[in-house]
Amino acid sequence: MEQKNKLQYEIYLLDTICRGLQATLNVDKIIHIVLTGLTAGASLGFSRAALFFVNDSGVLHSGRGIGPFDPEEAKKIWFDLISSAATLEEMFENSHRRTLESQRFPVEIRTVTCETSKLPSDNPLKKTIVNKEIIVLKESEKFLLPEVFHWFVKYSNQIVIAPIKISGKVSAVVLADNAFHNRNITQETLSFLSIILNQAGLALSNAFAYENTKHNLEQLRQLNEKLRQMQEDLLVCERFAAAGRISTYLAHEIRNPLATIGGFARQILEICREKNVDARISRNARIIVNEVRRLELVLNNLLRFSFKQPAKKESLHLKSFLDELLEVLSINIDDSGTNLKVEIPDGLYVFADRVQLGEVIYNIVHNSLESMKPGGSIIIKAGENQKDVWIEVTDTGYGIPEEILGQIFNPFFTTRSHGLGLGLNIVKMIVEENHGGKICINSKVDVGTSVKIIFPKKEENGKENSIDRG
Amino acid sequence: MAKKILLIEDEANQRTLYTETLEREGYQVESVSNGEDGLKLLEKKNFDLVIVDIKMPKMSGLETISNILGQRKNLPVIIYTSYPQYKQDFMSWAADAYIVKSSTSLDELVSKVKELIGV
Repeated sequence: MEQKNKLQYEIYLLDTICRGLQATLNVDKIIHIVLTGLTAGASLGFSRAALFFVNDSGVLHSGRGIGPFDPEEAKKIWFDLISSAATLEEMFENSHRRTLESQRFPVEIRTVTCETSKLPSDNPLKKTIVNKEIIVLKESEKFLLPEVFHWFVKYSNQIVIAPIKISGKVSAVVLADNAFHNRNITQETLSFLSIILNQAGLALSNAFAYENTKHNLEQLRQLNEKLRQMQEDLLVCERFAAAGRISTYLAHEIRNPLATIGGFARQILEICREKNVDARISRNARIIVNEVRRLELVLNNLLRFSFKQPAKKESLHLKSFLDELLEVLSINIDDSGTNLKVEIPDGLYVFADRVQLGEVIYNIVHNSLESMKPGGSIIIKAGENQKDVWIEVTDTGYGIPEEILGQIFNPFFTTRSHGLGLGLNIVKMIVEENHGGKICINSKVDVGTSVKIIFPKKEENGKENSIDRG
Repeated sequence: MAKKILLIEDEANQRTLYTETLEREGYQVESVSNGEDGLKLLEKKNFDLVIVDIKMPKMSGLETISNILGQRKNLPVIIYTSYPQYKQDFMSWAADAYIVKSSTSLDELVSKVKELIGV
């Protein structure tokens, strides 16, 4: 009768373990089920079990274990188990991490590594791995195990070493013993063990394949995402390229008639001056001249971005240059109700390309006007030292938030709903690349922004200075 | 005797504008609308300087310039165009000056002419 009950329990055990193993693809859980199954209840008779993975070089690593470390712990654990009266399924479901980590035995097992390739060929551990067979060591043979296991087998009377095979290769090794109760490990138990470990091999194989597939899928997903992003970027690039071609074409088509309109308007203006005609005609001609000039500055910005043009530098009388340029901007300045103050010393000359310097000042002042509160002011100052000439435009506008200060020179960066975001990029390119100068921006939100551009002076011997941007 | 300038420019309004501007400065200007006519005129008459656009129908400005230089090696040439992007390509060999058209560049054109051939 007792024999029959034992058999029934063993079949129940086997069935539960196999079902548990089939139901999961989680490596940790598979190990937990195997180790719990081997040590649960009295039927298989193992008091402790440990599982080690074996890598391609034959090194045992990543050990997991279940069971008591010494007789004292054994009493406590078994007492707890009896009083908890948990079923096997419940034990499988219990947080296996807690079981594995809270006691001394699993902790010690975790630290064990062993290079089996260095062991002699008759070493039982090596034989298990090489011959893929289950080996039972008697008390007298237990110290044949490598020294790292001697603490483990101290209380053992019999130790089983068994392989777990994945695709015919030993991928893990289980060590189980009968410490503390010393009940004999039977042939029947070994048969059960073999069945359980075969199932574990299958389950681990599935779990690894699953992990692998998951990993590959994730990689594929990432690659796909990257590809999608690249396609998007390419589309954007194509769009920009097309926009560039269109704008270059348009800019050119518009420049020609603008040059004609502006040129004739200047003639009218001169005739007005010479012949002293109605002041309104002269004013109107001046408006046409200035508006044409403004349009040309906008077009230059567009073309400047499309292709590089070297600077044709000359000594410019800064005060008259700025007076003429600011007249062009005067309509915008008057419209915005901004106070403009220009403080330029009379004898100051800057060595720069006339057209490009015009674009630089236009862009900076234009930005200031765009960020201006009503009744604000713009101050343009200039000065020189031995090597450089500097021009500074300070406004009392909204200022630039610190978090975007690093991006303002990027092409197409803009905080405005209109505009291309090319202005400061062009300013930087003209000042630094074309003139060997430097641009500094200081800004405080709600206080204002100050943009300082520095141009190297022309040296006496005709060579140009350049500024060390260190 | 006023210095003679040949202006090769396909846009009529611009021809008028440049001619009038240069004449006000005391130059004698003859203008044509394409390179072929320009070369024909150059065979018949003497000029002190040529102003030429780049993009023109029939014969491009560059072709015109190489023909001019074939006939009159030392004749000063100014390229006056709205294409700033060709400056690096042509400036060194094709012309004595390369000026980009704008509403304010006429002043530059006039001072360049003065610099090259005097008043």
